[in-house]
Amino acid sequence: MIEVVEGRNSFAVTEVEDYEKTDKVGGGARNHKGIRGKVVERKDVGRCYHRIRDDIDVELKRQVHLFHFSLSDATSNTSFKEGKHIGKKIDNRKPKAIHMAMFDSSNAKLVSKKGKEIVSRVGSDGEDISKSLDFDKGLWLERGNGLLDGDCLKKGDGESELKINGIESGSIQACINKLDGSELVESDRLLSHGSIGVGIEKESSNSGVCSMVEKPYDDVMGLPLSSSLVLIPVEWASNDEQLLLWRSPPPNTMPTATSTTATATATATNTCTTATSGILHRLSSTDQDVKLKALRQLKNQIIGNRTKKLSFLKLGAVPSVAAILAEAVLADDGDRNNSFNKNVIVQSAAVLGSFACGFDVGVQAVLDAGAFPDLLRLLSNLDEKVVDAGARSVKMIYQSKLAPKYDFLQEKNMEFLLSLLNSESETVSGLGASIITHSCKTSVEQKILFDAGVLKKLNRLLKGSLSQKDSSLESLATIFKDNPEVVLKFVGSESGRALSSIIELVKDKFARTRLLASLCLIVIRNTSPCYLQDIAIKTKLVNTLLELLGDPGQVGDKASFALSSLIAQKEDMQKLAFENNAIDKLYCHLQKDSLNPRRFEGILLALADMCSKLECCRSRFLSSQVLNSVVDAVAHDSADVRSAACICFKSVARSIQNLSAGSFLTEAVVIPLVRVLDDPSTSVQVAALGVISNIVVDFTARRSIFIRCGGMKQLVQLSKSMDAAIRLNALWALRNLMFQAESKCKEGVFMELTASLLASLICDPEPFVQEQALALVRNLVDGCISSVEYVFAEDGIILDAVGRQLQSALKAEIGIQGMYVLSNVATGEEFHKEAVLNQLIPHAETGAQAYIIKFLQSNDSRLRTAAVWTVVNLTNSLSPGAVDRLEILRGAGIVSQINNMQHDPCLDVKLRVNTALGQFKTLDTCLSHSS
Amino acid sequence: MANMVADTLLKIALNVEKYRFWMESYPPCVEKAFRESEINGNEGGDALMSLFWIVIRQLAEIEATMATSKKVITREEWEKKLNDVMIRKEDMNKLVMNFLVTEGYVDAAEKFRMESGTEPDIDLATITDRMAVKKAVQCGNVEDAIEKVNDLNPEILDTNPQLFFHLQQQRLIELIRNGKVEEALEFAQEELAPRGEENQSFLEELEKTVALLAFEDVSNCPVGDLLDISQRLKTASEVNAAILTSQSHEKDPKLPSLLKMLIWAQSQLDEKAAYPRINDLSTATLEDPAV
Repeated sequence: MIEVVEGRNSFAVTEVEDYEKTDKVGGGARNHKGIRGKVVERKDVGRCYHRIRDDIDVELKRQVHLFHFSLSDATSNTSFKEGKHIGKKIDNRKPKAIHMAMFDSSNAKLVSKKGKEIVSRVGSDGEDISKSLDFDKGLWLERGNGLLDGDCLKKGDGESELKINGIESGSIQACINKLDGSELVESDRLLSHGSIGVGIEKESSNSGVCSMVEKPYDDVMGLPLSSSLVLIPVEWASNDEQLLLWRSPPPNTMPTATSTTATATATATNTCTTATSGILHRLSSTDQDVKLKALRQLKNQIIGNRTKKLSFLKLGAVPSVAAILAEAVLADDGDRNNSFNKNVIVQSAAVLGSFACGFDVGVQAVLDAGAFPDLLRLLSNLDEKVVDAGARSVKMIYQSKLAPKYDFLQEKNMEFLLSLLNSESETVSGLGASIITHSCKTSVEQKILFDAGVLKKLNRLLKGSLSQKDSSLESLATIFKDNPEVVLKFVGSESGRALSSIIELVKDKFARTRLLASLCLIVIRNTSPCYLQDIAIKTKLVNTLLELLGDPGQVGDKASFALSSLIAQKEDMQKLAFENNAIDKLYCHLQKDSLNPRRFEGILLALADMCSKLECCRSRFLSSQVLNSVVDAVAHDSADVRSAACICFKSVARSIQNLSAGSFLTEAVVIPLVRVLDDPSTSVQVAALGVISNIVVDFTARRSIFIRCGGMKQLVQLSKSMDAAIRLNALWALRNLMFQAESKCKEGVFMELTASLLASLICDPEPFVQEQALALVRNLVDGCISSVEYVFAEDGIILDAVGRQLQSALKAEIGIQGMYVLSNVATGEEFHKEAVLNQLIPHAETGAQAYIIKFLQSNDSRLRTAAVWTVVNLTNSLSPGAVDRLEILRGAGIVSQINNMQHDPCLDVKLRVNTALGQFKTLDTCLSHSS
Repeated sequence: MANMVADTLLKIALNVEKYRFWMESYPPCVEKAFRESEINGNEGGDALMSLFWIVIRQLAEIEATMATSKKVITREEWEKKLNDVMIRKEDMNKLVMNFLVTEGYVDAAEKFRMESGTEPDIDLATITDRMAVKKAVQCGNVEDAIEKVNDLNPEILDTNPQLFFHLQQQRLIELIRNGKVEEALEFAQEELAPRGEENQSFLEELEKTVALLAFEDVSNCPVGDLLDISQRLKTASEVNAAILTSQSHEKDPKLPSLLKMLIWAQSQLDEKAAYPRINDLSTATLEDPAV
């Protein structure tokens, strides 16, 4: 019934050049029934054509990783592969079906020779997921396009449907249902894997033939790994009805994936599933030999294979193996010399360890199955192999966050830990170190470990084997982290020999060891900055990390993060890194193809730290083409990369020099930034707002570009966000946008913001949002007199809000910004000044002290400055009402307060106070003249 | 074997005359060797180190005295200088043992241990296991090799995705070699495709491998080199190296790097002096300087 297994054929295309040669073999058309293929170009540059039948060309635009087809032709009953007739017979009842697995999400086409489009996929905007076909009614679905569990392909006649039951890495499960009842009429597990997936076909009288092919693709442009699915239900195709895709609302009503799996297993449609269930079956065999063999087989199946781990996990393999282990451990207690039983223990421990290796779901399963205590017991076994297997598995568990916390405070536990560290066995001592790395979190624990002499043991391991060195370095870093006391004792111990052995390991020949030794030194430096100030060591660290960036594996991924922690907030280190060409080297790595997101993120963050303080770094950065790459990365698929790109950009955009030149306000930069303001991830939004805050501080008249690109409207929208961090940053950006802006720009922003929104933001529950809102108003009313009018809109709702906030201000920053708002308003007309005075002077009946007195007496000189400024503006002797205002101020005790401030320690305050006093004097003179 | 090595080494040990501290401008390859020997001072590293310094000092000395013309060193002078070099027998033995162990000559290592009394730094039994794995890959029994590695240490393949992929790829190649097209496809789909999904470069290698299926005459196709025996050897040596690393052992023997240093030192010396050179490393004969 699985005819495709016979008829299927796969065809792979790799390098273009290679393929063109192939074409000479296969392109002769002789004997091929017109099947031939030709790859014109590969990857993202152009397009490829595949002729798979005389009248059908498949056009693939952009990247083609692997193209498969299996073609069954009703007329020829033959299937082909390139240049080679392999003549497998397939059932000729089956109409034409083409299975393809590919490609790019945005542009794949199936066109007939007559030029008629057969299947077309519209853009990746997710609008149109399905389309009816002229030829082989079918459906083209892509996971990238929003296909979810529970999605349904519904036949136009409303009788049957195809449900997507499970989408996970490597497989898509679907079943075909009759719609007239909830009962599954036909169900099948359509399993297909990855790039060479050729779907398993199932023919059924009810539903026709379905086939699915899944193909992950990873676009060179950086699209995420995703999958596409081609589905061609042949029998449905004979109808002219359109197939509809609909998403079923309640996901929990879906038949579970397991139920379909079970059916699939029963019908044995899949050899993998059969093998899988076979092993599990044999695990529960009473025949010990069969059981042991099954254990080994299981072990060999899952080691290194994440997919297999997952599928065995789902089938419940972990509890079965845990049960076998428990039983064998018991049996071992009874008979210690049973080597067969020991082997069962070793194998089952290895299986559990492999499930837990780098796989959190597996760790959880092992813990849930209660195997952890049994594994721990193995450590005290007399047999070396058993101890080794147990230690290895426990170590795997301790390398996961999910491992139970080890309580160092219990004496018994500490003894056990020391015995582990003392062990001759590498695995066992490595386990001891892993436990520390995993469970030592607080300074109390760090201290206890130190006092118990753990550091000495770890030092000893530093001289041991590769794995001992590595795990010891990791543990040392854990014990040092943020604990200057322990670092001090360590550095002083053995007259610094221990520290120098770590320094030596920075030169080790194993990349991972070099990285871990560097990390350990960085922790020491960051914890106690007085150590490791030697320039040679610092240079060595910088250069080691820069060199490690080139490592293709995890070490390379982590090197950039290590570099960040080495240089973050430290200007001297940034300078040193700069002198060692860090910017160029980071850029060089950034340019590499197919960077994984983690590495990409790390490099961007390292660049961000490099450019956070020093102008020389920023100009080096800007003189290369890095900025373009960073701007591109703002649109990356991974949220972490997008966020890192923004953080990096923000750092560079601190360059006043380049801001003045308007280097950042170009459409190429602004458009992607504005777009990313809509990002689903809050952290990306906040990071993007950070960049915008910086770049809109523009000294040229290029803000209009930002506004034209819709950025301002976006900012206003975001200032209404539910998330306080986003409100804060959006206001911050608006505030900077308003900085010395021309009046037209201000008007635009104010229209968009509205007075009532501003007033409510000034009264936001979060003080830091209040502060930014006040700062925004301060910038808004700065400049020409007409802009002062803004605070009087809607009956002065803004000014009232400012007054209220000042009245209750707890934070100096709010007082400062609020006072500057008043101060700026007080530069306006008489009417404006009066309004300010009204805000300042409490109504007689309340009898409260004017808050400005409090500000004038504040410890914060900035607040004092702002308050005096306001008084200065109110009493400007040129304005007619100044004399009266002075009287009122005097009456409120403000004048005498200012008089007391003549010798203010802050020069700025003193200067303003003098101005104010000068003005008072002038006014008093006027008064005495007039009277 | 041991004799040949000893002979070569003696000849590497160029002249000791004066001791002068020389530190600057050694090339990266030497720095690497320096690093290796410094950290693994045991098993012959000391000998290697002292030889290295001797050459360096010699160079510096010549550089200092011979600013203008090339000095000619006659064979007699040279041999006299060589005779003055003291090499500890134990160090030599350790180097030899290191070579035998790393290359997996278990019988020879065992014999050498008995004859010379040099203790290997690794349990000789593990060599047998390692060689069995290597041999299995070389013979195309990849599945067998995988099982053996897993018995040896299940962590190796679980934590080394690249190696695991290459072994599985080799398995696929073997299936294709044996004409098991259906099985090969099934295997590629079940085992390899998910790995390709996890890693872009695996996917590319996988495509290349699967492309073998597209050709009638695989031996003559662009990706035909995958079927070559050298591919097996490549995979085998990768497994070998991974097992050695997991046993905290060097994955390369020290002797070849010693010979590399000899060649480098000679080429440095060539600029400064004419001296009896070793041109043929396998015989290690001194050739009279061309005057």
